[in-house]
Amino acid sequence: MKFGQKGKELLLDLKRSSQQDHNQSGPDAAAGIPAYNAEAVRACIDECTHHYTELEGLVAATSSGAGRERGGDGDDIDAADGRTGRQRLEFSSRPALLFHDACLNRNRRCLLAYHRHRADRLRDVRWEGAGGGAMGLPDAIRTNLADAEVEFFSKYDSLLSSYCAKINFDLTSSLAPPDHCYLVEIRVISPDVGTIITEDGSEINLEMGTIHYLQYSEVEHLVRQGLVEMLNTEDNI
Amino acid sequence: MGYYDIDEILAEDECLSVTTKFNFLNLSFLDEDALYDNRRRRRLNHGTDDESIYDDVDEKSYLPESTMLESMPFWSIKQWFLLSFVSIQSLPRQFRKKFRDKLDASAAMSSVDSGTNHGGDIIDLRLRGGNYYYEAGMNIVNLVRSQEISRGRSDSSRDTDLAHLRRETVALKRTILLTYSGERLRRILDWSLSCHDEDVSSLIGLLTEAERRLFIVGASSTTAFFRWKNNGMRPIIKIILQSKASVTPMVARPKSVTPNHQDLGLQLVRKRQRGY
Repeated sequence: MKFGQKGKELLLDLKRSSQQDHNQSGPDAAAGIPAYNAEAVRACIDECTHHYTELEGLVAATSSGAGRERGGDGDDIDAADGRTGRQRLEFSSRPALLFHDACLNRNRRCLLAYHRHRADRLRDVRWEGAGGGAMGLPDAIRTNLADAEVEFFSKYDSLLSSYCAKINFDLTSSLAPPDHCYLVEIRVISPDVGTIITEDGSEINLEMGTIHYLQYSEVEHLVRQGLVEMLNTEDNI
Repeated sequence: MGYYDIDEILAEDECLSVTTKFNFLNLSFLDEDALYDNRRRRRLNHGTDDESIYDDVDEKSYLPESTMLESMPFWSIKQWFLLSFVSIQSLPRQFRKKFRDKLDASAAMSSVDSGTNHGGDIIDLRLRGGNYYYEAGMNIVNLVRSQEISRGRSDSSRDTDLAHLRRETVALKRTILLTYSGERLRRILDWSLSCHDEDVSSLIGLLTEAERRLFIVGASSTTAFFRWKNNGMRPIIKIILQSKASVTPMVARPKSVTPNHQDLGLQLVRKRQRGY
């Protein structure tokens, strides 16, 4: 059956991408958001329109057909014949109505699920720390979004930032408790990180390829964005 | 669980073949033979098969009684079946008795025997039963059950096919439960909790989506545990399970996973420290 295929294609897109991004982590990952399949979305909506017009036609046909069978006016003149005639007509035209309605709902469900999941994953991206409005989005993700989604991201970002500012607390920071003795070794892997100022006032120039030994709390935001990498892995202990 | 759940939506795409119980008006496009018959009939009766000369909707394209519609997706015939517009003569092949017996046999195999045969006794359900075997099967079982409840037992006394279908679905439900919680589950639990750095693709390839989710949850918790063991001062990753009241209570979706299991396809979610 040819109906409902476009919706399925959208969902398979999502499913495939959520399984593929395991190898990448950091700002290059597309965070499970595949390229926006505008063509399939449009095809889905066209299918919905088609089903709706069919439905309209059928409803008009059945209601006028019932009238015609009984001689033209809508009143139930001849009770016995009129009633069975109308019932017979309506009964066998019901499956078509139900079918188009089911297709309509199916396409709607697929579309809604597709957009909902993309929006959810975008929200997760923001929570991971890609603040700064639409500019803060990594390019790999940005190219995959529709315009409306970029707008959604920037509005959500401003919403979250203003909320965090109002309660004077950054909700997106790390959940681990701060540990003053938690020192880590980091290597800078991105060319222009700049300099940071640590708590005790010293400036540290983060040039590409250098290794530093600092408190985790100070470099955490850099680690999360993927600009530096931590060397405290099992191999180095 | 839910309206937006991708796996549930995809599972409803499972195809069934149904038989119409009376004439279905305006739906001849569903069956190519009916399209041909209608045109031929019109040509015989009226000398032309131009549809626009007909006002009466009966003369237009319709599906005659007892047409077998093959490969209709579950979501399209659900309402029809509930209202008894169609009948299901036979279940899809993977839910029929022969395959059910095979599943029952493998589920009942003892663990002593299976120890020597790595993965050989786990039937490739992905291939033979479809990606969503359990979900699709339970959809059918629940549909027949709801139809039975809404229509009452009087239907089956007149219709032997329906009674037979109801018995089949009861047996199917039993088979599904036994298969899920039998040898397959034992193997999943075993491998997911112990093979955290080995190649598990030989098992994963045989599992359906529901079982894969379970495996991923187990594997990610094992990986987290080993990470914690090696780097003592890091916090243990909390695996948040979203319990899913679908096929069985055992199915769960992992909310947060670790990135190291490359062959399982896991990804970081928020509230996780990057760059361990």
